[in-house]
Amino acid sequence: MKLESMFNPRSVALIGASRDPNKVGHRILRNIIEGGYGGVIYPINPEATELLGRRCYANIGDAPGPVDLAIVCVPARVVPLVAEECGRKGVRSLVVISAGFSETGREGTSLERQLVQLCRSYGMRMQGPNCLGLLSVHGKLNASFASTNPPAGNVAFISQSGALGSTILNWAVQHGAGFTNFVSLGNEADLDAADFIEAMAEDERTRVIALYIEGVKNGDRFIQVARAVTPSKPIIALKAGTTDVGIRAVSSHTGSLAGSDAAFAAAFRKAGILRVDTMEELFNLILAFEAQPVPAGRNVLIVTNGGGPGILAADACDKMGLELPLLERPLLEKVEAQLPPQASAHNPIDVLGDADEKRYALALESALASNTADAIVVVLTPQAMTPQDKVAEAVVQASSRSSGKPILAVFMGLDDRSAAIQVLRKNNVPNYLYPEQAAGVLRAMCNYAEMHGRAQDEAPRFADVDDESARRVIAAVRREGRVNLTTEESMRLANTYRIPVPTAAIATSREEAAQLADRIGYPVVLKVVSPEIIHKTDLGGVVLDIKNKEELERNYDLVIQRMRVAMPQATIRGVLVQRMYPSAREVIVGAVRDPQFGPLLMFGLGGIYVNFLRDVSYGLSPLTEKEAIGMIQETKAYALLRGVRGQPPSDIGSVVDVMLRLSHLMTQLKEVVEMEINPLFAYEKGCLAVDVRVTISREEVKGGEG
Amino acid sequence: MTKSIYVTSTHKLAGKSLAVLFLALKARSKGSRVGYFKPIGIGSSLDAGGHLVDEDAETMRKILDLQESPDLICPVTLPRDQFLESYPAADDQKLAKRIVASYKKLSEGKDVVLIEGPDRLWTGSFAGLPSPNVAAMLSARLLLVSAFQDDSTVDDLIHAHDYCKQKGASVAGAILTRISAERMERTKRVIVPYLEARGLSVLGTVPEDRKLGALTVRDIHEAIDGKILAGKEGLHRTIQNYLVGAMTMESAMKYFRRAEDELVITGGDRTDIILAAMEAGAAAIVLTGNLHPSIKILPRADDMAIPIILVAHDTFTTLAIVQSTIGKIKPGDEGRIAIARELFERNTRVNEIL
Repeated sequence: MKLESMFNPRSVALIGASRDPNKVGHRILRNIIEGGYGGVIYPINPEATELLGRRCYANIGDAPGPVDLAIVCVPARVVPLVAEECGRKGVRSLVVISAGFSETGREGTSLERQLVQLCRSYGMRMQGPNCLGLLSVHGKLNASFASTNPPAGNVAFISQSGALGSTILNWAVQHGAGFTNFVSLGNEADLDAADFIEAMAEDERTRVIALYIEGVKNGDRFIQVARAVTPSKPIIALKAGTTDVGIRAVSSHTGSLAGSDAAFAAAFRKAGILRVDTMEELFNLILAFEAQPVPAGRNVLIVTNGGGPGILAADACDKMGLELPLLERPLLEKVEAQLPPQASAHNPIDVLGDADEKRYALALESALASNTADAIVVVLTPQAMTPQDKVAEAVVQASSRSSGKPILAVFMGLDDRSAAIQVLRKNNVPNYLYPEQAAGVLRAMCNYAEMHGRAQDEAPRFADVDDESARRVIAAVRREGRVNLTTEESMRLANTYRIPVPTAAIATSREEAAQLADRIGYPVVLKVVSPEIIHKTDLGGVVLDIKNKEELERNYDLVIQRMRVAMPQATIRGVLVQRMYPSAREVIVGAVRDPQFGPLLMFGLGGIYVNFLRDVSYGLSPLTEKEAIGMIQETKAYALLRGVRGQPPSDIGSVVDVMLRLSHLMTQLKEVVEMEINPLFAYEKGCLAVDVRVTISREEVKGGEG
Repeated sequence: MTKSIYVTSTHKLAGKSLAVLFLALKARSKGSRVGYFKPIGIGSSLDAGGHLVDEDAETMRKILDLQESPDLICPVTLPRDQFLESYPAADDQKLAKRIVASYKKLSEGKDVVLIEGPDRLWTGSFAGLPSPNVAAMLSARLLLVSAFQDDSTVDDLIHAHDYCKQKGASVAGAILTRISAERMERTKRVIVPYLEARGLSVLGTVPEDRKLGALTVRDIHEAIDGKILAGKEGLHRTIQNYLVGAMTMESAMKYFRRAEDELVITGGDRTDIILAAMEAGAAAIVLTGNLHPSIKILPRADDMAIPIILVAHDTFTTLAIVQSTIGKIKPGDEGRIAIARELFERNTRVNEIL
């Protein structure tokens, strides 16, 4: 397993171990010892020969045997020295708890760089610095300064926040959630979240990976790594900084650029990561994924001893996109026969307030036997006659049958310490306070099943593109010291990647314009070409539907005059004479280069109201055909494109083609930071990029596969 | 016999000082002993001793490393605004004498003296000493430097030429400056022959180079009296645009990327905007209201050489100051001096001037 020496060390050294109970170095030593770690422990402190009953050494070089893992909690400025000593000793992994590195500014940053250099030169891997530590629960190793030891289980938790980490540990104990490993990422100077995800993927005991992050170091790598893992082990991620305000806070917390939420959402989707929005959801999902199988479909059977709560549960499931089919006839009749007449065997199965464990067991048996149920939700309300403990046991019984159907309990209104709840906990049946939580969890489980049931497709590579011409267009713009392409240049660029653009040419005189219009064919559109003018239509720089030579000549002068008046400083290169095409449904296809994840594609309803309606969807490059289609289907625009009110549908396939070509272009031409096609006319057959806008990066960026 | 050239212009910001600097350095490179003289200066700042000095003359003195005293180089320094009481008509002759005497002394042992006139051709008229008169007095030939805006510039030049001739001065010719790339071809084809047909020699057509007129981050830092928190290595960067960062990070990213050579002004609490600005390649960032940013971002600014400057002013005041600051070449600004020299070298018939 990757990072074996970190998670299964045979010996652990604690550098900075302390006698003083107020020091971190003391707490960590206590935790390691009291956690029950069975390997060799070397406390290191030049001023002690014995600490907490263990032989203490002055420096790591003095330790008699090899050291797999060293925990470091000495002051920051001394850490590089210590790291050097560890390197010489042959230590494989370091966990640096100490703060005072890049999170404190300039000096800390250079100290951190030094530290990373050192580790790399000795081939040591480092977690942190500035972290809570790590726990390897099955190995009984608590190498952190959080004193709580969670129960052993199959969830790995990787956290960018130490504070949240300790919260989770406490919660784990309360709710009986079992963990394999716990990692506090710290500054991620060497090992980052992706590295730990890889390690947990290889850990046989880990079946679920939970993640709390605020940002990622290398977006591409993160997606690649996660993508390889999620088909076999779900990754549940809570990302902080989803709102504008949150993003601001994240920037302050981490000192690094927080990517846009749209990019993160698209990244998680591409990686197959299950995203949660709240801590509550995170905990709820962990409980379910660690204990219960993933359902084969969206059909849920609800069993309840109270009509009201049953209805609430049904509502919640429906809202979550789950189905509530009836049991098959034979099973249905069997259940009905054994229940009182006023009970209901329809879904939800209401076993009534005076139900005992036998009625529950009957309903559960039928659910397990049925082909119409993929998952079961057991609701219990504390009525006077209800034998809670026995019902809990019946549920546990059903769960232990390993039917492949997840069973979630919603035992409402019970004391957390009650025997019934304890029984459920001890036996891996997740219990939720409210039916809505159970429904949310099931939806997530179904999403996971569906995400990884589908075959993955690849992003297409177009052979008919003219990469060289594209690069020449960009180089010419860069030579003039500009970053914004003129409309004409943008169209030419789009054309090199065979994105359909209108037939057009630039005229620098009225006569030339007339000649071009003759060649192109009326009606035509005139558009002023100027590097400084971006919103031409607003300034009167575009004239549509010019039907003949006389109109053309009149409007040619007019359109230039308008620009001169509106923006006297702008340099006018000429006037673009473009064929006028019939109008069609307008959509937007755009791409922006996200600093963390690379090109982010956008699709949405176009037209003049787009900024207000904001009916858009996102996807990351490299975009596959399935993803592009998915993006279109996500929007309300899709309904319009399919054709409403007797109007024929638009050629969605051609829109998809444009999206894929744009994705390919952004992947190849790393200098393009923004490219927007608005509007893209979607005809019954084919589509047309009527206006294109491109921005390139400040400096030249080499790269691409060209 | 000392050769003297009196360089003047029709409007401010024509590039007159650059022309003077170029000619002085060119003459020197040809082995001539060069002098610089500014008969009538404007007292734009105070020196160490509290005296009014002409900043441009001072700059020239430092760049050219001149041995003469500031008083000799610039014998008459007019205070801005109200100065007439100090210069009664009766003293006109004295002024003229002072100018001639200083010039005589300064030009001793020099092969070439570049004389720089005020920004406007007729400054000094109050004492009977507009540029053409002074040039004639000092036996210097006039060189008119004019920034080419549009065809009306021709009016300005012909008028100036006539005025000089009327006053009895000899005009060597004109240099047209700041010609945009788009207008260059027409300038040579239409404007130059037009002027020459009316007796005015065009001795240079110098293209516009944005870097010369633009402010550098250093200029701005001095103007706003800020404190540099990071990115000192980037003070030489030029600024073309000002953007105020108050929107969301995503919008900020979009706008910052589309602008070129921008200065971003925002609050120190907007770590997200600051990071977006750095990512998008902004030239510099000014943080207003004395709000210190998160220290975590400073190392990045150092790495990228993007200056981060803290000021006490609010955004509005900062913008106002910045927009009224003019970019000028300072001593030590080797980069821009080199650009200016190259530009003039390639685009003027300097051998006909010197």
